[in-house]
Amino acid sequence: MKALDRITAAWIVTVLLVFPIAILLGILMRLNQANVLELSSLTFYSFMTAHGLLMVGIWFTMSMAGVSYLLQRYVEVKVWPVTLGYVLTLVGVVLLLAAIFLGDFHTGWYFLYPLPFYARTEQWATTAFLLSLGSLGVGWTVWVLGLLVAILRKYSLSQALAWQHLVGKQEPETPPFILITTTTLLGLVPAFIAAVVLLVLFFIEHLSGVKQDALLMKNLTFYFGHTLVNEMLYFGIATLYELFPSFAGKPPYKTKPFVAAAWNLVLLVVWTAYFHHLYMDFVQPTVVQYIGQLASWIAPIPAVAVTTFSVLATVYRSGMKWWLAPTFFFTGVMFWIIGGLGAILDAIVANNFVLHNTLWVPGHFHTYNLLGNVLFSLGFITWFVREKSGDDSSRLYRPVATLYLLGGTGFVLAFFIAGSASVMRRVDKYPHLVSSGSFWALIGAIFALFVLTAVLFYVFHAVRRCWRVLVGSS
Amino acid sequence: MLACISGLLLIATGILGAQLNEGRYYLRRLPDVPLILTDGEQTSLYRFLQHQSILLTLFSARCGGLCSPYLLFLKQALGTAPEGFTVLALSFDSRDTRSDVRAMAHRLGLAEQPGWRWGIIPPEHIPRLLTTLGYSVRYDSARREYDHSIVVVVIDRRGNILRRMEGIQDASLLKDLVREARGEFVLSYPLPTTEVALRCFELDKETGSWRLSWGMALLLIPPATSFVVAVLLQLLLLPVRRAKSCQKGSAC
Amino acid sequence: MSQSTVLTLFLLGTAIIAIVFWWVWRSSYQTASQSVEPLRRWVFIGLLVFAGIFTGLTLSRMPYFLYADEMPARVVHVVARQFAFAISERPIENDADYAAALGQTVELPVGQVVEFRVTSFDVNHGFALYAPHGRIVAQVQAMPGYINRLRWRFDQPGEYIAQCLEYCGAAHAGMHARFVVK
Repeated sequence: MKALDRITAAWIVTVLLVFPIAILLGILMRLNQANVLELSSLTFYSFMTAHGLLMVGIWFTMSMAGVSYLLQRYVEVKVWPVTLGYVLTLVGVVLLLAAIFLGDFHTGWYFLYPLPFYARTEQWATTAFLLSLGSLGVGWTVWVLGLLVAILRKYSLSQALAWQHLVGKQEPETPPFILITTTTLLGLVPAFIAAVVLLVLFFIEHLSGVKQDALLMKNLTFYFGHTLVNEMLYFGIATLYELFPSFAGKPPYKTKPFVAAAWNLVLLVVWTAYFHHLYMDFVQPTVVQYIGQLASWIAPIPAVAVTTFSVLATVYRSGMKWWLAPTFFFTGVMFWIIGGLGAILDAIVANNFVLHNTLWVPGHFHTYNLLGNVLFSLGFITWFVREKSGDDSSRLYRPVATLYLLGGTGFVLAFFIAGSASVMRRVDKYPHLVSSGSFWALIGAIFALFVLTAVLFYVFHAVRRCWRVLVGSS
Repeated sequence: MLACISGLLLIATGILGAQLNEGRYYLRRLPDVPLILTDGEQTSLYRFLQHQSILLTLFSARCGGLCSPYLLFLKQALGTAPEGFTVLALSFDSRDTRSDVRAMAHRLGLAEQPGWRWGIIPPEHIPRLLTTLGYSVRYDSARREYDHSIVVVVIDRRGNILRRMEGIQDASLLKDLVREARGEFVLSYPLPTTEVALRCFELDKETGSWRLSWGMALLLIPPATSFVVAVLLQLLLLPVRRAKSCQKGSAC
Repeated sequence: MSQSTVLTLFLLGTAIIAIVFWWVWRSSYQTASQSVEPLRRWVFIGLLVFAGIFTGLTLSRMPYFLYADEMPARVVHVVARQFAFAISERPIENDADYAAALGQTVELPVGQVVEFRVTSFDVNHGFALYAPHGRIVAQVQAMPGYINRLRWRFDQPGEYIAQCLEYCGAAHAGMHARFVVK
């Protein structure tokens, strides 16, 4: 086995082993909200912090791993940045879990300033948390730069961004995978630098006590956090562009001028989309709020007009052989658009006035993630398993697809309906004020159990096969 | 590193102890006191307010301390012809005459400026005005001067206090008073504190347009650095791309 | 848009999307060589029109300058701190003011503009107004170091609850205050 095969398998095994644990944490939270369980508030919020950080962490890294693997079709990919990313991610996660479960660190996954200085019982937990972010940051930044270097060793920047296709030239050809991966990597670099700035400012206050500006810190936090999760979705799309046509027996997608235009536009727009997280901070300049709504509405247009249409056109009357991988990708696109609909409705400032921080928000991002980005990564993993073992997971097809998709749909719908009833997010117990909250929490937990069942079947199947790749002989 | 240096510079600058305690005085209506302006006009506060809202500041022409430097600071911060409001500088010192105040205005170069009006209040009306403003003065007989602080108040055309600031202001705090004096609704404003290291933005005191401050500069570091990184990688890897092209037989 | 309208639009949109995807999936069991590429242009135009209409209709309804031209009948000071709101018509500028304001029940007038001046003494909190019917009618963030001004006219009398909506620590769920509109 090649080194890249092994490290990809290592990522898959690790992510798939952590995934059910992270889901379980989420189910326990919903059961607590449904009054089926009685967790202490501290335990609930520790679970909430761990659930968010683990989910974002594993699926961001899995999307990077998928892209790193496929990139070797076009350029020489060095393994050491991928491996370093793996090691430093493990270090970061261990520190994080220590901070959360030993130090009672419970800020929630986006650690909004100045909560890290308040939401812990042990002083060292904040230090451990900040060091963990440092480890993750270094690992992921080196990995991103490693992939960028790999691309730019073969393609110039303008070619990687397909600027020649923008003006109608056919040569040199930039595959869509390279275009989307490059725009996504370039979108991540400033996000990580924002995280560095954020971390430095946190450390300054942690060590000297000098307070930072809460508005500046919130801007940096969401500049990093929103961009991270947005770009991780685009890595999944890159994977889809690369693999999906072959599932339908069709030739690879080409970078037509509108494809090049769409992704270059996305590169610019995605940096300002994060403003929609600060709509209810009236101190944010109003012009920035307008930009946030405009950017949030512009960004989906390429997604729908380009990617979704292309996928639908690929499937339409194609005689496609449906197995688990294309099913994951196809339904992932559908739910990506549905999650996007939920997002753009909330990204209207007038709506956000009454929806901000209700369950509508986890409704849309769970749709994007559990039913969008995760499905793209599962599509890649299923394809990888077939490539390496010949097993196309056909025995799993009906039970996994049915349980996962139905369970996921019910789970996120419970969030959306409760959110429209003004049930708030991030509370361990629903106050009497929002009496329907407990009911929808129970519904959500039941449907999530279906998802967990499907995931356990899948994990058992895929981990065994990838483990053989990991330990297999060269 | 840049963030650290920026932070240290701004810690050194700080914000100089202004008190934004207008809460107690918000919408409190001033009494309609008579005014004797330096150009001879005799009017009342309400009649004066009919034409514009004002930014009121109080001083003593006999003050050997902060009054003159502070009025010069206001001149610099607000300009001689501010738009949308008038600066009304009134003496709280019952000993000051119209000539005293006019002379002071001349010394500061503000006597004939269209946006600035100067005047005195008949002594029997001074205490009522000061009480409503929450502004206290204490006469020091040894120095024959008043001990007092600096105050700036925004008054709307109905005579209501909209904003009140006591103490030396940073321009970023004064900007909000200026906007309210112009009749704008200020959606949010920072609280004065000596501990915050960096802020995102400040409004230009005269034009009301946004101006970068160090905090916003920190927000621009990520895209700027990314651009530099992308360009650097592009240039550094150029020889590698050329070598690969040569190997493929392209013109070298 | 009310929350019910948003939910209806979302469910309607979801149904349409699901139907389109289901229909395309069903079609995949046949083969044909026709290209649907000419449709892309219309999809793009349709999206632009849809986005343009919604953006145009909604950009003018920003909540930031509600009742900005009116003088509020009352000004209410709100300070958020782990884990209680202090709400008072007297300014709350320090710990003593905060302690004095805790537990006060404020009565506000129906049909008149009220201005809330909201800040925090520690971490970010949210100040969300829940009407007697149990839905949020307005909200603003409470950010330490800043005062945010929210103007609102209460058209319905009754007991309102101000709930913290920004996660602020372990007792976040219980952080709320009541006030009466009559």
